Amino acid sequence: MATGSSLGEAHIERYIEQRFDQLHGSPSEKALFDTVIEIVNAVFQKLRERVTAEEERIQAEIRQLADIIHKAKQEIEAARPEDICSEHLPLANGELSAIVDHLEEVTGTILDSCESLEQLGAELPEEQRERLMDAITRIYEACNFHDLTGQRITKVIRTLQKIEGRIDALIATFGDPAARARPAPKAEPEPAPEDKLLNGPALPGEGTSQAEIDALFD
Amino acid sequence: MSVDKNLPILIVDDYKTMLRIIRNLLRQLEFTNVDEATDGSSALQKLREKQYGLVISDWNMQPMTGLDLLKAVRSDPKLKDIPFIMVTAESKTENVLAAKEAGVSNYIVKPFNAETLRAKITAALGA
Repeated sequence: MATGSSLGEAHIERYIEQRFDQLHGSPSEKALFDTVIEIVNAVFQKLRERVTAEEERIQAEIRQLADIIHKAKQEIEAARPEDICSEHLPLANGELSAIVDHLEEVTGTILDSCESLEQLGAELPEEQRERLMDAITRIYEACNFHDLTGQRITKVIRTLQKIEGRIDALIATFGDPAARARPAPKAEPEPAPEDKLLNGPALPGEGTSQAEIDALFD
Repeated sequence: MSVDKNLPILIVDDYKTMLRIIRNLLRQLEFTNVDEATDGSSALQKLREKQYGLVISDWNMQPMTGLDLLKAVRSDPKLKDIPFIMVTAESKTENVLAAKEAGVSNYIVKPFNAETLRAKITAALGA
């Protein structure tokens, strides 16, 4: 009588044998029983072969995935993300903040000068005073740049902060054990509906013109 | 009907330089009765302490945005009829519509000039 190679197969063989003994007992039926066992074993052998090939295929794919992950980790480590967060991004933020401060200072100087000129203008003949006031008005209008530039730079700073957060997450996933030990950066909460209206100045060609806005009020 | 150039105006912006620019432009337009606030909460306080004829406010302020201030003004029975002009860099249509729905009188997108300011003030005051 052929025997199975695994516990499951041996269990099935014994079951078939017991059932056969219960139902039958003649030599010819015993031969039939052996044939059945052979067939069952052949089926199990086929199943084992199929499982082995499938397992090997899966193992090969898992090895390939592990290689890809390992290579990605090496490339990320080579990019030195810790330096990006500890040196480059803080430097960029610092420079941008310095630009905002300097713009504030310069605009203040321009406004000081214009206000002085306004006072001097009061001493001029009417025609000259009007021409001077027109010129000063144009300067005040041009000083809008300060506010818009400040808002654009603030948007850049916020973007850099988001990039820093993503890099921190990468470091935590692929980087050194110390970085992995840090708590994962909290997921950014979904902004409130009205916060989605806070976008700052639009890029040239985007946004809505004053004329289009006026049409909404007509 | 001409505009009262002595009208008390409250300008609101968290950028002090921008407040100065708007004040100077208003002076060029002969509006000299101008007070300032650097955030929505102090603006609301001032509005409850003194009668203003016009509010000119930025949108992008924290913690109370210009839109929050507008809604607070419109929901206060004593303040709800004050003309309110939004002067802001927020130029998307959804912003304008949100402000309009909240009851803004007019909307100026930065950068703006003195003539636009004059025209929108005149329109907001119904002159």
